[in-house]
Amino acid sequence: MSLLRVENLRTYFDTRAGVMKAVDGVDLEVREGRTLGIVGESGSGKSVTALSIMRLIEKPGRILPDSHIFFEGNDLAAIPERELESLRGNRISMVFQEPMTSLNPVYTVGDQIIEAIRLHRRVSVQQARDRAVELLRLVGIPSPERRVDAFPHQMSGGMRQRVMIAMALACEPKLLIADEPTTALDVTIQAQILELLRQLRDELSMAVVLITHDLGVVAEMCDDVAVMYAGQVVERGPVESIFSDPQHPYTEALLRSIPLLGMTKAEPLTVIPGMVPSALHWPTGCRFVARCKNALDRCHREPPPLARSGSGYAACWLRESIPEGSQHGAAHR
Amino acid sequence: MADPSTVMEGLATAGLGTEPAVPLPNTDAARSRLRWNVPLVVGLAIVILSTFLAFAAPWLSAHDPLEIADASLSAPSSLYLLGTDQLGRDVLARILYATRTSLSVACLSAALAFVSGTLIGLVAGYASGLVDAFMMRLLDILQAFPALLLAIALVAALGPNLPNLVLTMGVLFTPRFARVARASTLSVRERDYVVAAIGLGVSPIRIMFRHVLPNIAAPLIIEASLTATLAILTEASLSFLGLGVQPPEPTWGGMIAQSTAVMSIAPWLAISPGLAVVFVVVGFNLVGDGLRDAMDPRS
Amino acid sequence: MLQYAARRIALLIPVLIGVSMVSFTIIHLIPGDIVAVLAGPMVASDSEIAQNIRQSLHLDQPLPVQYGLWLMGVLHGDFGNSLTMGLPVGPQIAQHLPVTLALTFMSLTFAVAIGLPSGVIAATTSGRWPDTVIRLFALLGLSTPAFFLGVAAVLLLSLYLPSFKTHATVELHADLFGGLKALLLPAFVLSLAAAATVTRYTRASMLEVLREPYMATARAKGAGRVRVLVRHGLRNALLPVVTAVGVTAAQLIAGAVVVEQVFGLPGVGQLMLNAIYHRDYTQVQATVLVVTTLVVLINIAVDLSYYLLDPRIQRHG
Repeated sequence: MSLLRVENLRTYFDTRAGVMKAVDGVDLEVREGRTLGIVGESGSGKSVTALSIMRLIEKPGRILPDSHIFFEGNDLAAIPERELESLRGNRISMVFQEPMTSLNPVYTVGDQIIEAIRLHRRVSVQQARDRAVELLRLVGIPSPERRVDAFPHQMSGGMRQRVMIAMALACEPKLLIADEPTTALDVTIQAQILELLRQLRDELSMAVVLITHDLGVVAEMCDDVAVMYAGQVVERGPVESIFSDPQHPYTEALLRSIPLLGMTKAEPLTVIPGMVPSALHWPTGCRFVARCKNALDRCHREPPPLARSGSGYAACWLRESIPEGSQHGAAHR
Repeated sequence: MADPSTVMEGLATAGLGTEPAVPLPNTDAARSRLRWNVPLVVGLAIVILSTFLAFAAPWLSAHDPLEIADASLSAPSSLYLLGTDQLGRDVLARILYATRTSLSVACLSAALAFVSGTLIGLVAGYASGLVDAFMMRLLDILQAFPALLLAIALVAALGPNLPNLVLTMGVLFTPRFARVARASTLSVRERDYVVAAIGLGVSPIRIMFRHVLPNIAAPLIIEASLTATLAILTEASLSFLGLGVQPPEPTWGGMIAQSTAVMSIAPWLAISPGLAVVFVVVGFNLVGDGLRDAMDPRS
Repeated sequence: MLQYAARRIALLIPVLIGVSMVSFTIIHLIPGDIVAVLAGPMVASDSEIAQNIRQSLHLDQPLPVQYGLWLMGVLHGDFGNSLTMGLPVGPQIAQHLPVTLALTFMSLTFAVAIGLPSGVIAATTSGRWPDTVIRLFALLGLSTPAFFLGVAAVLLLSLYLPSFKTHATVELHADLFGGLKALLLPAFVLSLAAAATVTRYTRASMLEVLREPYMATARAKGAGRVRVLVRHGLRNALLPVVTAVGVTAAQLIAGAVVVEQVFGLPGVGQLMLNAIYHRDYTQVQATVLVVTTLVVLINIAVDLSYYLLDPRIQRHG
């Protein structure tokens, strides 16, 4: 059963230079208790997608009216702000990229976790504090009774990210969105944090949306994966099939650009030539066309729809299963 | 419509960190830099206009500022555009001549503070160590005084006249420049071209003036325009208290002080010189703000 | 905390010594023969009055000794005698200080009460009309001398609200409440420039804070907009604003001297200006010293409150 279903999400930013279509027609699905990885280069719109799901987009950004974010029977794109506030941090939580600056420097970590609890639960400060200590222990912070009174600046980056996770889990959410939770950390700490996330996900049986640019992390953590390029999902499906049989040339190129376990020297790493087009002027046809070796005439003219391909979905005219002319411009609704 | 840099702020607000979520076209950044800096343009216009009025006062005013006419306390009319005061002197002419006094005090004292403060700051920042510590403590002491209070006492002791006003304010405003110059010198000193010059055996004085000074000019110029506003306000306050340039020379503060006695029958006497102060100070403030905006890469 | 406070206060001692030296010097800046200036041109230099002046200022001693004697007196609460009235100047200052302090603190309160919300509103509406309007007012506030505002206020009130007493007598010791009420208008007039300063600082600081990721974290926790703005935003933005308040306090005390003159208030400003008009320089000297010392102490208080507000300093001491 799907917990979160995003349909035709479009998030635009109004700038002096024009409308920046950061997210331009994204479809996603997260099933209960499962982990979806969203991968893509910086600028592909993956972080904006995450923030849009939480509806944390500030002016001059806006989510277009025909976008839908179905979560537990509500359309988050449409419900009033007040109702959304009762869901945020409660049913859906988020962990950000920068543990160094994501915690408020003037409050103790305990105060910040207590706030997260008391925003959604009618409990006394003492009860909330006990719960905060328990949460800190859960995320593996040593001597949590003492650390609960520490200020963020007294902790290392890895510890702070653990605190962020504890705060996100305060109300046992059904869905945790983690936006590059390990990018800012040392390699050894990265592994620890990922391991912690995996363990907590299984213990608390929550669904996770993990945003990353690291396919290695996806391989380790995720059940499903969505590959984003230029504000759109170009391919999605189960992790194994995408790794073994990528359907979109961009996914293929991504896989070739990173070293994976079991790779032989015969397969050299390659860099994807060219640049991501500007969000102010997306190309008319397929957005990957300028960087695609096998681009057809049609790829320049018509945007490919996200259609069934392999054991998932892909948006590419090179997959012959899509008859010419059908679902014209479907991905560009 | 916002420009892309605000969008990036918006994204950062939303927790995206420093990396722009979507690549931004470079041409737009360049365009926004060339955009008209409204505060700067308006400010400069006001400053230039008031400087012109001050210089041209003798030709612009139909009456002598000290000439005593028959009609005392006459309301603004076509003959006396802003009316006359108790002694029948033309208010417009007096305001124009007062602009001369005010601007000379402001510019001269700001210039004095600029030169002495920059020298002190350069030396302190460049020499560092004990010299620096000693000079900074001296500035601490000077800055511990509420500026206007010390100005009142010093001008009262020295005697209220134009050179003493300039001297007093010049000294009082010196720490402002010294601090700016020192901070900038400290950062410029670490740059490669200065380190290279030291390595080549260039004399410290030459390094300070040829390499450091041009690179710390921008913040000093901003400080100068803001100091000018303080100087004008201080001069006005002092002359209001009777400690400015002495009568019969007209000063804005003095004119307002005189007007209080006859305020209920001749309100224009207080209002026009007051508005003149506000006008000129707004001008200098806008120049300072505009320069700061133009030089701050974040805005 | 105590250690931090002790260190800050220890750093003050050289500053206060310097302040006393400058204050002492004021009297010696008088050009020409000090005695002739102080006593007036009519008094012969060997007359009794002239002798008295020489003696009370220890003018027959070398300068460092004069300073030493004066400082010893000051430390014992003896600021010297008035040159015109012969009375000790210390009690005079004590008598006039409460009005000035009340005026300063009232206007500081106004400045914060006006400046803080304005700054927050300006920052959150950055680039739109409320921001523009507030910035325009802040610019005018910074550019208008307090005495002109005072004169204009008195003028307008006398024209349109003649029943309003703009020049009420203020006797704080006799009628505290009535006295404070009479100070409302002067305090408001005095506060506007400071309010503009506080607005600008708050706006700038709030704009920085609004970009901080922890603001998004707070939203993601489910906190409402106002709660995020006040509890997470303002609490952090306050830190630089506190510094502004310290700077402002010094400006306000000096501004009070002028505003007292506009409204005829019996504060130290009036005392000092009267002393100036009567060439009573020991009074001027003592007033400058006392007021400046107060300002230095206010700044220490600001410094310590900064320490209490920002947990990050506590660690580094």
